[in-house]
Amino acid sequence: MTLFKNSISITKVLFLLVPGIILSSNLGAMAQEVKSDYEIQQDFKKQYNEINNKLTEADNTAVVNEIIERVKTLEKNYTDHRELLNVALHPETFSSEMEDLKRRALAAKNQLATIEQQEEKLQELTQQVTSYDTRLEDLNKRTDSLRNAMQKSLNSEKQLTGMVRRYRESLEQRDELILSFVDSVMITYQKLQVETMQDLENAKKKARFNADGNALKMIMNIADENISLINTGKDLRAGDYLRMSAVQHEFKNMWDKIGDKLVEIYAEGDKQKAKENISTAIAEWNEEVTSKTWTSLNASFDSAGINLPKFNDSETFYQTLDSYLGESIKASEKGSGGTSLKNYKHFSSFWSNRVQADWTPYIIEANVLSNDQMATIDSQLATWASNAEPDSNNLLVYLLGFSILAIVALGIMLFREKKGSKA
Amino acid sequence: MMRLSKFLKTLLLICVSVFMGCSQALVISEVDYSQPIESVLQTNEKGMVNDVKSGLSFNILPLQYVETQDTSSVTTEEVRMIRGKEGYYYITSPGYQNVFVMAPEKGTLKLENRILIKEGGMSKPAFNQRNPYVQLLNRETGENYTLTAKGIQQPDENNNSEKGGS
Repeated sequence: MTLFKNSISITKVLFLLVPGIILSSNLGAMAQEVKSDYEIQQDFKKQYNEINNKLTEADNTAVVNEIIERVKTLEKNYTDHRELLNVALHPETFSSEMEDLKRRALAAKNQLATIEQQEEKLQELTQQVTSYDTRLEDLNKRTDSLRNAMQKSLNSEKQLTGMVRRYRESLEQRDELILSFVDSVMITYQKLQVETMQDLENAKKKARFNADGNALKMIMNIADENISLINTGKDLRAGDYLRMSAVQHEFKNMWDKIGDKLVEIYAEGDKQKAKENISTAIAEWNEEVTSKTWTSLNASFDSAGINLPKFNDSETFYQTLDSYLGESIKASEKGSGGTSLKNYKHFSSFWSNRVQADWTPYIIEANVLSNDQMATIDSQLATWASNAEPDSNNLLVYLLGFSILAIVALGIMLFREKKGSKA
Repeated sequence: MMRLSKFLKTLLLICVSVFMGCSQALVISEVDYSQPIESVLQTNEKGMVNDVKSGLSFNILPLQYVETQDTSSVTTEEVRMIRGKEGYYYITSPGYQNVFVMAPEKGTLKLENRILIKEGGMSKPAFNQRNPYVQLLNRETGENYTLTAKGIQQPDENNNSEKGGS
């Protein structure tokens, strides 16, 4: 019974207290909510500036989405004070300020989405670069060990020849890998925008790309390795140097196109200096490979028995060939006979079997000769052929034809004679 | 002769009218001075306040003296001020019992009216422009007063200098 009475009294107390608590808390809340016009516009400006600052600092789309929600809430909360804020924000208006904020939030969202996509691309590339780096290192090691083995080799000539062949194959694979790297880097980086690269840097996300997959570091390594390889290369032929030169041209082309972007992403400290260092290394690589290419080309023509004046660049090379062919054609027109034919055969064989069969793609890619120049040489060679080859060949054809005709005529005569005698 | 005399009189009248017209002060009527949002000003160590937006600056100590009878130190830290439609400045401060209605004059602000709001003063006063009135708001409690230069405007009264609230 006492318990029952107690429970009733507790209920009564609660019945009186709860509404009282609710009422007092509401009054407190009401009292806190009273704001003067001054406070309203100050609060609006404060919230607006906070959102503005958060937009500037936002580094991912999730944050921007939250900000967009805050913008909507801000607009909703202050729409009733539109007229007051129009005065406070003069010459701007509440609507124009909100529109500006929305526009900037949307722009930030789009930009960050682009950056995030680019981050993914860069991460893919970073993995690729790491993979290329590993494979290139393996090939470098293999090439170095083969070169050392060749230098120290006391083995038979047959074994040495095998080593040289493997060495050259290894170099070829290495060059293919570099070209593959160039293609991959070009495709990925050409799609990236420098502006967003700077944003990436601002967002301090750059650090993750400075690990093993640093494309800039790899480019520098490739340039340095190639300079070293060209200087220490053994038993390399004109075809090898032409291929290396073609690779160097592709590499330089890539650097000219996307070097700035790569520097923007990967370079630390003095970016200008980093760019200059790589440009210098690539220029040195070009100088070394070009020099070796021309020396080896001169040697190849010499060893083929084609006596040409020395040439040391694309222009003099073409002029030399053009002069040689022009003079040869003139000589063949004058009918120098056997000598012209011998020279023609030497040159034609070398041109067809070595230059056209083995070197053509590299000659074009390395800018040694252009397609038009190659076509002109082919045309000159055809003219030389028609002059140099003796008429005797035609005479033989005529004689053969005459002989066949004579045999046919004799056959007919014999057939008729036999027929006449039977009759 | 009579005609000449009439003509001269008329001419004189015109001249006098033109002269009177020229000497009259140029007046623009129906000017609305109302400031849309109050100014919240901080005092310096000398009691000076400066409203950067309007360019108005003055010393608060005379008003502080009325409130506290003490000008030995600056005890007024924040001044709330708004200009009404008629051009009067309404000035008060946290803790002040009065709103001072000041008329701008040559190099001075002259007391037009002192409106007693609350014994003991308001802790968080603020002005809102509610044309043609000025609203005094107690931000702490939410109570508000409709003011004119003549006093507190009661709902059914035109003028009143007595304390009141709504």
